[in-house]
Amino acid sequence: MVSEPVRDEEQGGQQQGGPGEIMRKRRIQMGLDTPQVAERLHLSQGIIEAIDNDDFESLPEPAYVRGYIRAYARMLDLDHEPLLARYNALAPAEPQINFSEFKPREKAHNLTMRWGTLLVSITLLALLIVWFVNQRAALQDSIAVSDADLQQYSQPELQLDSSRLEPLDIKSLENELAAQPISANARQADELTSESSSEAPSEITTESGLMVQLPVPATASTGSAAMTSRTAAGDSLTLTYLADSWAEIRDANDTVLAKGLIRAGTVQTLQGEAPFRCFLGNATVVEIKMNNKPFDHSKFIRANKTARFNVAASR
Amino acid sequence: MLSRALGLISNDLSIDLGTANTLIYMRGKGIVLNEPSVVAIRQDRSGGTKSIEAVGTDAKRMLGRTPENITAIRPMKDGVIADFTTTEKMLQYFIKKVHQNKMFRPSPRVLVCVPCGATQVERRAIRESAAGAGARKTYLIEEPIAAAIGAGLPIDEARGSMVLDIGGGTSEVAVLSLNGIVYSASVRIGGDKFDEAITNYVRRNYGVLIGEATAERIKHTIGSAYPGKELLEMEVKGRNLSEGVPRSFTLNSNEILEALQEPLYGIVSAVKTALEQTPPELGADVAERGMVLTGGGALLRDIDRLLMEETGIPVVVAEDPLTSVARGGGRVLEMMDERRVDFLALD
Repeated sequence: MVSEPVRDEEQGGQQQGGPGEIMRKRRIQMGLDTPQVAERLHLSQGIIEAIDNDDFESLPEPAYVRGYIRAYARMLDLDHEPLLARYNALAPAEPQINFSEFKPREKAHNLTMRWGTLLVSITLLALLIVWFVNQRAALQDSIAVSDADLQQYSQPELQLDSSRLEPLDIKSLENELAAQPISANARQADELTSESSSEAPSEITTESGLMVQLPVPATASTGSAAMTSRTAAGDSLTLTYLADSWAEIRDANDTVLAKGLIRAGTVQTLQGEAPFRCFLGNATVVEIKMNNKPFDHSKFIRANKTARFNVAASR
Repeated sequence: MLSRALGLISNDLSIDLGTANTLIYMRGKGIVLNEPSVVAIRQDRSGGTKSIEAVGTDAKRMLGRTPENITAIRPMKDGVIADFTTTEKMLQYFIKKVHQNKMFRPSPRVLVCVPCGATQVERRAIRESAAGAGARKTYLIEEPIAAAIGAGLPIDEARGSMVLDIGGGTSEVAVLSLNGIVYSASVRIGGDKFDEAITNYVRRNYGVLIGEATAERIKHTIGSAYPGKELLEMEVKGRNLSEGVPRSFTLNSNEILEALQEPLYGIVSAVKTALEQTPPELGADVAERGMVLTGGGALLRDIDRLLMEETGIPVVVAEDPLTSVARGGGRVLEMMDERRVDFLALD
């Protein structure tokens, strides 16, 4: 073709970077025109012209173009590597495969399943925590109750026991306590604290009684120290029954010290906090001593021989 | 949760489990392994325990050169598993080899490419042998799709793309459009058949027996699919059948071309059938832009010329055709978590 060289020269100056220029020159040198090349490579004439002109926009994807350049170069007896390097420098980016953007249905289904499972597990976990907290609170309540029970059971009995110990010299007792080995006491104290509410009161009494009899240092149990001091501060009420009489004696703490029918000849010594509230059925046959001092209650005796009166401390 | 933890110590892999070569693409790293699919097994006495002597390149060197107690075998045949246990061992070895971490047993997600002609049984065998080799999850992908993605074809467009993957055991031809296969066919002709054809030719015409490895070397050196301008020659040694002693002789490229006629025309006719079966619109697209050749077979000299002359459509050899399938699988692997990939055959 006559017109070819003219067009080539026009284009050559503009695009020096691409492989087209080299290939076109070589093609012309070999005396081939575009239709001939296109026929040999089974490509359309447009593609060959686009390669010659480095017009990569109108060409297919780089994967194809590289193949075209390779085949074209081989036909022209050219080394395809430098040509491909030139092309790669100018080639558009490799196409990204666009996978479907839509979310698959089964995946969405999985998502609801996943969220559902998560929700259920969270609910279960929350319930478990609530149950656990409740359980803990109940346990603490029961512990508190058992402590209260322990005190309630042990205190009056201890007071009664301490009445027997009252004559003892407290000072000497305390000295004795200090001299005793601590380990045994500590064990004893442990036993006491580990006693549960289900234990029978009698057993606790035994334990407590033992406690009082056994030397307990003040550090091991503050309760026992308080007990001792209360023993010291207590008052004693002695009732002598000359005949059978019904009696009900309460101390200042409203603790019942004696109640019921008392036989004749009984001498009752009651220990407690003054004032004592006494209610006697047959008051005329009872002699009362408050802290070993006679107490006259005749003025309280009513017509039916009953008497209701208070005995105050008179030390 | 556990699988995520395991994912931290192992990388996702795309495996091109080929008849001739196994290639592994590691996510984020590229092609990390390219070794022949050969395993050498040692069995010291008959009935004794078998142990793996060598795998890959080392094992391939032993092919046809082993003593009695060692057998070098190729566990893949015609693109599918022929020896299940050995394939599993081989995969295990390769997966371990590409994972540098020696402390933990790697358990990657694995994408394996299967020929589109593979049956359910063959697919299942591949999936199970991958699982046996330590894969946490196995995905299967049809080879032509992976090959097309690896070659950089725009398979997502509403335009026909034709790909011909010539592997070691099979050749796959497929027309793809909109991320799907419009037509696909698989013929059990590949590099192995070329070698076999060369062996047969030499025996028939020279009365000389050559081994598999020699036949492959001949194919690589002087093999061509279309009469070229220059005549290549090569000296070959083999055992003369009548004399029983090794003899040396010279082969030229035209003889090899003649030897390869039969398998080559098997492939050509598969391509022609594919073009016949393709819907006209897609056929027009293919005729305009051409078909793309991938796989080791694409490296046979002038095979594109042959196909071009036979079909009359442009033929383009993909860049680095040997690794196209593994790279394509790798790209799928990289996009799998973000997008829906509908051509993956999942469990």
